[in-house]
Amino acid sequence: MPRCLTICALVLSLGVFSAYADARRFTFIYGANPSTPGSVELENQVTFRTGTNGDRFSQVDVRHEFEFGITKQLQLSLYVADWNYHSGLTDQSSGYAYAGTAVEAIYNLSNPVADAVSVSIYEELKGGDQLFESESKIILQKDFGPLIVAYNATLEATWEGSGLRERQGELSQSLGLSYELSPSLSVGLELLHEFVLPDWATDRAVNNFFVGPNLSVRHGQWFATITALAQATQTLGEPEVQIRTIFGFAF
Amino acid sequence: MNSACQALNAIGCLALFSGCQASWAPAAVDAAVIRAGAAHRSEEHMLQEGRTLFVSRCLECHTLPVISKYSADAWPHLVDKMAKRADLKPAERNALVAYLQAAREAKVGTSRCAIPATRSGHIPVEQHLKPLTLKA
Repeated sequence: MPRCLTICALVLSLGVFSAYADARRFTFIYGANPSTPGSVELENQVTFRTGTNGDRFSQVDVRHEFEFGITKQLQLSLYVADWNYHSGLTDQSSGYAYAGTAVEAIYNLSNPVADAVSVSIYEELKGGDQLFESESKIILQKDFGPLIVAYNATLEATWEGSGLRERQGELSQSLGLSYELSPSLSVGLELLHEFVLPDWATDRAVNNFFVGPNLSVRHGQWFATITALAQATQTLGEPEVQIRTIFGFAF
Repeated sequence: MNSACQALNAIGCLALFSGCQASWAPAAVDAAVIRAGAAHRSEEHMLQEGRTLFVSRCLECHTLPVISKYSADAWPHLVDKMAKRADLKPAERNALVAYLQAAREAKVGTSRCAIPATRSGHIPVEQHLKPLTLKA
């Protein structure tokens, strides 16, 4: 226990004056603040999902994002190559797969401290082998001193398969709370509510709700954030557990 | 589970649309802040610039502390410690310090709080983790 306390004290004191700019405090939720103008950053995101669909399935998704701060309001990103490793999926044999390449833009409209609420709009376009995906978000954020509250409303549309004939929609909303214990350490909670619409058919809609804690550590040129979500609903074929980590490094 | 989703909806709406600026928002550059700044020959546009820097540049690395948490003497040292990382030019640094000192003075007067600089001007890092206690 004393060793644990020593480590906690060390982590707290490390970044009192040297916290990393633009660190992500959430992994399933976006904050509204765009990157610092002129900044370039590499963020590696790894998501592990597992659940049952008769048999147990699991998947690891990996994304490598280069993020560029363009102006005080605008941030652009390039996801070089999304890939995954999966096993136990009903429609695919186990193995690695290239999942696509994406571009993303975030435009900020207001400040989370000076204004009543910070609002950003987000658009991501992803293309891959027989895949096209559009993800649009409204990002809201409010800072209450050391407490950051963020909310995302997301609309995702996917076209895939031969001739991109298979369509799927997803509406989701997520809420995140992050409390800054020191400039180098934050802890919080993330809630994710997904409304999946296969073929955009509301009669086949799947409703998922996930909740879990997050932890974010930053120092110098890097940050690392982890979230573990458990499914609070009982939807078969959807992940029971999702764990996402983002490791960022600024150049 | 529908109730959980409804709760999420409610929390999201309440937390983000209640318009609660509360006391966390840094003081606006109003008459009191301008008066406090004028006593130190800081002009209104300088104070405005300082506030803009405070709610943007400082926020890139950390959440914003309550301004009255630190003494007027402590603020220049705190800003200087972070100025390089925040890429503050000398004029920006001066504007930021002028705003912080004026906003603090307008809020709590000229009394010193319990997180002052030492005689050498150094502020012990561990002091910043301690809660504020005002001296009599």
